[in-house]
Amino acid sequence: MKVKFGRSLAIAITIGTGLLVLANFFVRNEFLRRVQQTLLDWAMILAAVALLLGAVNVVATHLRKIRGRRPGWAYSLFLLAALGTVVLLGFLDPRGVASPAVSWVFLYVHVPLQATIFALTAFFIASAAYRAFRVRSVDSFIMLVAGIIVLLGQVPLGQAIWDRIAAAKDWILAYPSTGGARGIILGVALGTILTGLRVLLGIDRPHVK
Amino acid sequence: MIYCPNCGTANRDGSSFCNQCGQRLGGGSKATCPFCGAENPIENIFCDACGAKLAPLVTPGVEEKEKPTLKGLSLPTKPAGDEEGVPDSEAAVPQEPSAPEGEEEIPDWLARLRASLGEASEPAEEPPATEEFAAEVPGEGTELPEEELPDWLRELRAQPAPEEAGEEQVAPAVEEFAAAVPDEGAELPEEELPDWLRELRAQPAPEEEAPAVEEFAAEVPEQESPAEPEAEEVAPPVATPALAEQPEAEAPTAGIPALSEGEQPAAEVEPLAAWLQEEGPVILELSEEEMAEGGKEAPPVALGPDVPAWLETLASGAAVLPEELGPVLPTPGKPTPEEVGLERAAIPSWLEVLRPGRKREEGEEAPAEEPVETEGMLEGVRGALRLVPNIDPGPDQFVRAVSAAATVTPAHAETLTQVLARSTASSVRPRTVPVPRRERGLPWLAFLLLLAAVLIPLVAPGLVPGGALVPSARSAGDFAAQVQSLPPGAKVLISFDYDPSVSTELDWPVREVINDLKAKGATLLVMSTTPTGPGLAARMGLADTATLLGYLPGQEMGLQRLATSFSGAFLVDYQGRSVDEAALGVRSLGDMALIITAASSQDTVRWWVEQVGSQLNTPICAIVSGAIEPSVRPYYSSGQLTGLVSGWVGGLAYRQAISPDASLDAQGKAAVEAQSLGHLAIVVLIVLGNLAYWGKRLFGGRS
Amino acid sequence: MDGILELLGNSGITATQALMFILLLLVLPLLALFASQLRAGKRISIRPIRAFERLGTLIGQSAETGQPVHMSLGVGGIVDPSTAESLAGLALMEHVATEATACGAPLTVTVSDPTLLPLAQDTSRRVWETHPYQYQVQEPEARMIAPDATAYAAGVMDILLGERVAANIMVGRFGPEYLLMGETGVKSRVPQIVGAADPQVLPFVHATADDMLLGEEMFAVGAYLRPRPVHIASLRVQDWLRVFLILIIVLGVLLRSL
Repeated sequence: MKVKFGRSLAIAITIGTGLLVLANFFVRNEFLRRVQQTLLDWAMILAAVALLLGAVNVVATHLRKIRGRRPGWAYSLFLLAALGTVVLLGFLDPRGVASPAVSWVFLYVHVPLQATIFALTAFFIASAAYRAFRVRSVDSFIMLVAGIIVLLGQVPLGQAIWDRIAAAKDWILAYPSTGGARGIILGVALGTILTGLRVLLGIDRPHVK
Repeated sequence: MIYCPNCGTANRDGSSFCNQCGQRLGGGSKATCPFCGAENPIENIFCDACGAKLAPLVTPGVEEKEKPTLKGLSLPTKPAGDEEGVPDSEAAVPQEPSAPEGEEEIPDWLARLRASLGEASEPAEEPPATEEFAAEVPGEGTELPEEELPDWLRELRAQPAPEEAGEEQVAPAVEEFAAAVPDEGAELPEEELPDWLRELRAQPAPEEEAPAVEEFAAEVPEQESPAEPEAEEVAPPVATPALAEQPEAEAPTAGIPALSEGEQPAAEVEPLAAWLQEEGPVILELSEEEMAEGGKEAPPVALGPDVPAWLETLASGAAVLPEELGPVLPTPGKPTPEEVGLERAAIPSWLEVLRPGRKREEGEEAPAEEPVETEGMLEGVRGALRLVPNIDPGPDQFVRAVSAAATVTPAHAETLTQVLARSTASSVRPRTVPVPRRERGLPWLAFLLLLAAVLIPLVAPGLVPGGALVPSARSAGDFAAQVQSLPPGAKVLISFDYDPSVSTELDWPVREVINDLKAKGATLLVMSTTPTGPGLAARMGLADTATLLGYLPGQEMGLQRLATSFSGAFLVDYQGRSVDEAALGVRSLGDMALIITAASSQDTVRWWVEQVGSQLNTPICAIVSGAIEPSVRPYYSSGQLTGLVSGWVGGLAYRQAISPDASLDAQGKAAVEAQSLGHLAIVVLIVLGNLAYWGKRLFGGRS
Repeated sequence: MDGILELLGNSGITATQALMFILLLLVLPLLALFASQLRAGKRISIRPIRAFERLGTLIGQSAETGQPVHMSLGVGGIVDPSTAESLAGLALMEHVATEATACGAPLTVTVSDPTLLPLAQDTSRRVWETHPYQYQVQEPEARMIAPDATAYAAGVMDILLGERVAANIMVGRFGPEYLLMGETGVKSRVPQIVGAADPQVLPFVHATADDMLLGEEMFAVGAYLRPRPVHIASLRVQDWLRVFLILIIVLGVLLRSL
């Protein structure tokens, strides 16, 4: 009984807040705007708390890995050490994230590492392209030609090969590509609306038992 | 997949019974389309008549799907014997043979129990009530000729049963589901495996011998003749729910004493261990033998799934008492004369356990943990129904509550976990598929090509055709024109909305733009919609020339707020100082002469356009990574963005538009040349991929 | 057309608001109507989506080999525009977790955004708690790798390379970092089912996934895997709205060019 009540309450809260925010979209009303503002602030706070929980989860996962001496546990040790160090650096300096130490870590560790991992994409694109652009049918042949035009049309080299290639690229991106993408986006938007409404109406309840 | 018409569970192709509820699949069963009412073969996923998806829609009450149900996979559990003559079984509830006294409202299992209790009070060896069960379980009483048993099974029987098991291994918990698990204190032979577990591993028992247990899940139709020797399909049993497979015939006598006499299970621990040492871990082999025997394909065999698979059987709608579970995991052990003749199997062993007032034999220990029912119709039954307080009246819940309460001990669970972990690590490691030689060099080829693309412009600048002569871009030109037309002191808001991951791509054009803005004497305000943005902005050397507003949380909504009231959005700046809007001369975003967003996600650009651009007339320009340019360009085409620069190439185009005569710095040239070569490398790889593909296709690849 | 927009604008209503309001007005009655029709036994067919049908096979393979299934809920969260995609991932996760727990396949669910973590953990706990032998089966593990998309991708790559994954299911919001994970899955020969909505990522998905849920297909999880009349009705409403939008687009083009 208690459980059921809690569940109904959760659904009621979902529907209520959802309707308020939705109403704010359609109606300009200072009260509604403030309510939405407050809810958004709460969401921010919740997200921050969630980040804390996430950090706890990360630590727990890696502690388990270390304790079980599972393969790669040494990396987990390193992760925990790095995590602890950065958190400590942030707390030690009253300036927090703006402190020179944290900034240094961000600039000289975080940014280069991120950029490096992301740069791997080039290799992955290369090998994916090797596999994905096989001419198996007329469709895939068209895709191959379009792909090569777009690839070369973006760089000076393509310009040197064929001076109209940039225009061809722009045409491909502006019409067939954007058209297809918009079709997908419209479908996704409809799916999103319906998903949102299902949650709003309490049909889908990802958040309660 | 065959979807069960009763519960919707997806069963493997070839299944004859649902592993969830025991519903008969295939054969004459029909599924009624919930939409058009047409009768469909049960295998149909879509209705023949209207094309509606039948499974798993074909549940009796669609709303009941609300309840958490377990849906699992089952491996084929084809019973031997004829497939024909099976009555249509659309009914959700398996039909039980008449319950005594016609008490309809009492669940069948309870009725049965009551019947057996009523009559079992007689001291007779075989109470009449049990005959009802014997009748229900066809073929149980028939003899299986020795020669019809598969070789491996005969080997099992031939195993002698050493008697050296210690007295301390007497299992007090015989009535539990894990009937033969030795006491926790007792030493566990064979790596501490409880032997019920080992039995699970070792149960490659052909279905044909006795589908006795399936009776509990769903009534096996009488027409079945499970003992038919020329069964075309021998069930591959290992990965099927063990419960549904346990051959009564295999160890009928072993099963009963195991429950009535405490010593028996312990005595059988050893032979099993010995047997297991030979065959136990290599279940795959067993199944292969069996495939040879049956002449039918057997599904892949695995250890891990065994247990959970039968666990799932328990979750079926049929009420299964925990006591029933024990005896149906018989131990192939000591061959006795009765073992060939199946006479004694006529008393299902679980019933034996349930019989109240059963004479305890000499030396048999009273099972300690099981409370005796003191009232009601179950009076005298030991641990028959372990009712837990929070039972939901629904049959599913009931089974769950009872079975979970009766069987689960932490030690038990721990052992199972260990065993599962061990078995997956050792015995069923799948073969690693060797990477075809053709693709093995691919990563290296890609790596070398891209390395060359990066190195060549550095080593030999100007070698690449086209050089750094970027395609003229109107969007970058528009951007440059706006920057150049700014009056001195104009307020410009720059938002660092990109990830550190694309910093190598965006830092350069952003820096170029900022330098031009500084040269124009613009007042710069710097903010960010991502938490990492202020850090990126700090690298631009803006601290003394710009106001760093810091991070604006809330993403889209944050921007909406910013558009409506600038002062409310930023109370403190990046350094924690309060922002004095009056001193800045900014009351709203509308005071800005230009807004620039540097973004790596099209969402961010969209937010700016939708939340800010739609409300204010301030021009918005964007500096974006090349990856999102195609999705952002429409905003430029529609005029919502008044300028657009994308990546290195766009940055160069901007540079050329600002000062057509100025020569580019070496870094910019090298970057653009490298990008040219990189794109060329990918084109080369695409061509190579096609050559390989067509070469194989035209000139005969083996595969 | 311009007149209508001007009229709306004068009364403080933007075109977006008007369109959304019309859509909303259409959705609710249609949803109720279709649901009641379905309950009354109306026939409707939905096309098969291979990805949904292959899910069970992959989970079964995982159960047989004892290798874990990895499921990624993407880099989105639930307090940003990616909420719908994340919820679609969660809905699929519930199904995958139920099947995996039922047949004993180990399941690891990873998230990037911390706001998704409690939901994923709750789902796995809920699924596990309804299992009759919960103490004998492994609770699906839901864990956060990193709030940053690229770092998350690196973590998933590590899982795909190091943990001998039987199947990789990824449904949710993904950016360009998807390719790092998808291509790693291909290289380590993990069967992959991927659902993504971002048109920018879909080419990568196409190149790397065995089966995919393209765009709106990922929002059909409910209708395919936990079919209730209202879910199927919701799909149907989606189709009707699509027709409505196409009509509006055609009308708009005609009005503008005439």
